[in-house]
Amino acid sequence: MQEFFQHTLNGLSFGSIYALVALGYTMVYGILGMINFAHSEIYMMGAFMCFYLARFFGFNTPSPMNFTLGLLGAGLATAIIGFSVEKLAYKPLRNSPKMNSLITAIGVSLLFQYGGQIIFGADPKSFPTLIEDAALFELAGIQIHLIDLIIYGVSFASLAALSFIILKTQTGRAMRAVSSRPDMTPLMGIDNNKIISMTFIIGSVLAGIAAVLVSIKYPKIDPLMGNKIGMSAFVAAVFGGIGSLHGAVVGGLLLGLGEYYVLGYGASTYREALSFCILILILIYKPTGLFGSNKKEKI
Amino acid sequence: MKKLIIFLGSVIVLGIVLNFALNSYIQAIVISFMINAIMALSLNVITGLADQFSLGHAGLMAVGAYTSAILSKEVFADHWYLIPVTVLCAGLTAAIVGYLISLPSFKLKGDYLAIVTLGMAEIVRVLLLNWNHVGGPRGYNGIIKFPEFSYAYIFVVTLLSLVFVACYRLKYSWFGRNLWALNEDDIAAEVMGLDLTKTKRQAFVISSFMAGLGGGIYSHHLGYISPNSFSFLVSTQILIMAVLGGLGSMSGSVIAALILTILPEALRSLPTGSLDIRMIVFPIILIAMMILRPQGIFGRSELINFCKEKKWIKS
Amino acid sequence: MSLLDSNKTVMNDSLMMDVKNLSIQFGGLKAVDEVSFSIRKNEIFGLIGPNGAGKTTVFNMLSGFYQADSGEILFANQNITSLKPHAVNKLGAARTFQNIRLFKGLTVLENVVVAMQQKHEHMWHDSLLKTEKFHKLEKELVEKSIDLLKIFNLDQFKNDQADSLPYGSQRKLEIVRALATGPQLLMLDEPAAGMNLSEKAALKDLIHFIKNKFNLTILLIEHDMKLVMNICDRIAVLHRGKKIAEGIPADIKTLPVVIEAYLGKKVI
Repeated sequence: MQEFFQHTLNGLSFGSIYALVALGYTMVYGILGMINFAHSEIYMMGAFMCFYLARFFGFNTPSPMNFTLGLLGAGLATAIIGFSVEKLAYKPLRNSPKMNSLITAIGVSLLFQYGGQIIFGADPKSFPTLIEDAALFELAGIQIHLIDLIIYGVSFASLAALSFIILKTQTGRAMRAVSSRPDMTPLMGIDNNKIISMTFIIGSVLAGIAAVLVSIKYPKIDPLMGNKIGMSAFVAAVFGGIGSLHGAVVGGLLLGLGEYYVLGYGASTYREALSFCILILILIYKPTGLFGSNKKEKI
Repeated sequence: MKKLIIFLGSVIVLGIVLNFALNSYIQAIVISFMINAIMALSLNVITGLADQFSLGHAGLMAVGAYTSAILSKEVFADHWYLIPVTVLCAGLTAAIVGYLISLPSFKLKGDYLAIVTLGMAEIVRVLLLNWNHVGGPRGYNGIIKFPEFSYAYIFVVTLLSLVFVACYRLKYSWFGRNLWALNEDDIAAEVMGLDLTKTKRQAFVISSFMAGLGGGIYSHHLGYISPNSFSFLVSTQILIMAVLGGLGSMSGSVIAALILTILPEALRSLPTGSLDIRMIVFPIILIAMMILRPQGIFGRSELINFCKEKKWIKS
Repeated sequence: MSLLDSNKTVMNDSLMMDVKNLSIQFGGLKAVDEVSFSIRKNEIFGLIGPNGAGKTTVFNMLSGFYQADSGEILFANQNITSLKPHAVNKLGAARTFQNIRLFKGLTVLENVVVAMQQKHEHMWHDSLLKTEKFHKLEKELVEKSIDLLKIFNLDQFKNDQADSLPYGSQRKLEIVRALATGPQLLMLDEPAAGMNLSEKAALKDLIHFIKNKFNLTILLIEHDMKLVMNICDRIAVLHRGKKIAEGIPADIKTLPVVIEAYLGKKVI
């Protein structure tokens, strides 16, 4: 029973990371209809940018202030990167067949991975300790650690901020509008390009935050670290219903739990395949996922 | 018929000559190029002609490679003259796997299919990693090769030619027309009596068969295979070749395979010190192409049409 | 796709298609509500109604794109309610589209050949080995397609790209392509959309011509009242998903319930 609880906690911890990254995939798909393969690399860049910024500006010792600076730094860096990728690589292809955008996204993803290996070096680096971990208290027989609480806390705060933006602000309303009728929104004075950029920025910031959260718990970072997270997060987004924000969150949490149960009780070497199996099963039996909607093509 | 004899004859002569004329490094590149060409052609059938995006061809290649390797080592007792048989079996096995994959998949549209094929390839890779009988992560070693380069050369050239001619003839037949119609407007194609799912499935099985052939030769070329030789990156490299040549252009795939096999080797000799810039050349080419010339070199047409247009040969 | 014996029914011999209590719901909206009508052999039947009445939805159900929630569609002695579009076409029903769905990148001739070749059995080895049979069949397909195009004076454009044709010719080509599949029932989705008066008059003649030459039954959706009243033998009127009238044009146009549905529209 204790083990189950431990797996559950770990699962939720990782699940909230998946949720943050999955939101990026789902928002871009909802607004542009494309799968942003390069999103996992933006996540990776979040970790690396924070690493270099911390080193350069000297905030690589544990303290709440430094941790916050780290989050801000990562968020800012990923916002800029995400914005640039969209403007330079995806915008020219907005009116081309979907396949072209997908191929370009793959190209951008590989470019970051291998460019990262060249520029940063392929060996894993040690992420600075921005938070000193401590076992805080016991709950149901297992230790609750500070870092885990912080992961839950920051994730929750980010999701709350996102909800606020989407539901209560004009930008959020505009984003929802462009998602459903991009042909009509210009008629209402909405600049689609600005909204699309905004979507990428928000998704990228969430990925950057997620990267910092992961890195304070697992401090080894390398240019290929986006791959596994990216795939799982993408599966989570599809599982929850691609295009649906609730879906991304629920999907992320459930997938995180699922992976940790498999890890804990089953064959850990098959963990990688788990997300793919789930993905394929979903796509076969319920392609719209948990919360997705079926958009029928006009005949 | 006469053309066939002349062709085969020149291939054999060339094979013998090249055996002595080229060093083993270049010989390896020649075979590599032909394997890449077969893989690019196979992807072109499903992604170029049928417009169904597959990101999992490395997985089909893996199925072919391991099938032919296992057959050679365990059933055919390392007899090199049975390599063609194992390669054929590799193709058939990959075709069966392709059929199974296609059963549920073609209900899905564009991007989703890409993800499913990617997922399938990764599942294949993980299963192979866990299959200790074939070495698991350490790979499968000691696979027999052709004793002389000329034998390998003749076999692979023949295979490539057969695959190329088959793709070409399919493209310019009723099947190719069906695929093109499906491409242009699948709803209109449906109301003319075209069974979309069946057609896509057929294209995928053919494509899988060819990918299996490529994988089969691959294992006998290197003598060693491991699950990580068939990663998503490999699927992407095959995709880049098909896209560079032009999705839908068979001659384009072959030419692109040639360019992209030689390019990394040519770059190897560049004085960039310890930086391995070869890896980022591929994605840069890909992105540049998609933005500047998404139709690749030939678009949907063939080298022969291109020459006719430029009036290099008489129409 | 094999058609099971359980799909076989016996229809009234004079009927081409029998639609019974067809219903479909999208979310909370009942787009088509218990619609029934029958189309007699060799007649021109019109389906009309104001915007949003459900005509195109019915069309899409008849041609196999939507699956009805309840009800039956009987055609060619089969229950085709659950069949997919290609199966419906194989049984003898062809359709055109409101937005003209030609194969834009193909030539005029290729558009027709693709339709024409669906009726033939093709063997893989014939195309791969380029046998006599392959060459013969290719030649036959091209010849038959050109003959068909000649009837409609489109053969001069045979090597032109389909989307280079003027609008009226494109519409004609779409109809020719549908005819190449050898149907008994031809379903036309707003064939007069975007046409001027003289083009509409030509369309009327065209429809009568093909009906007689190819021994067809024709079902059409149309907004142009004058055209409908002039061409159709019988009409069904839909309004908000329900059928509100069915009969001959002369009767229909005087019905108060029809006039009310088209509030403000003058029916000549």
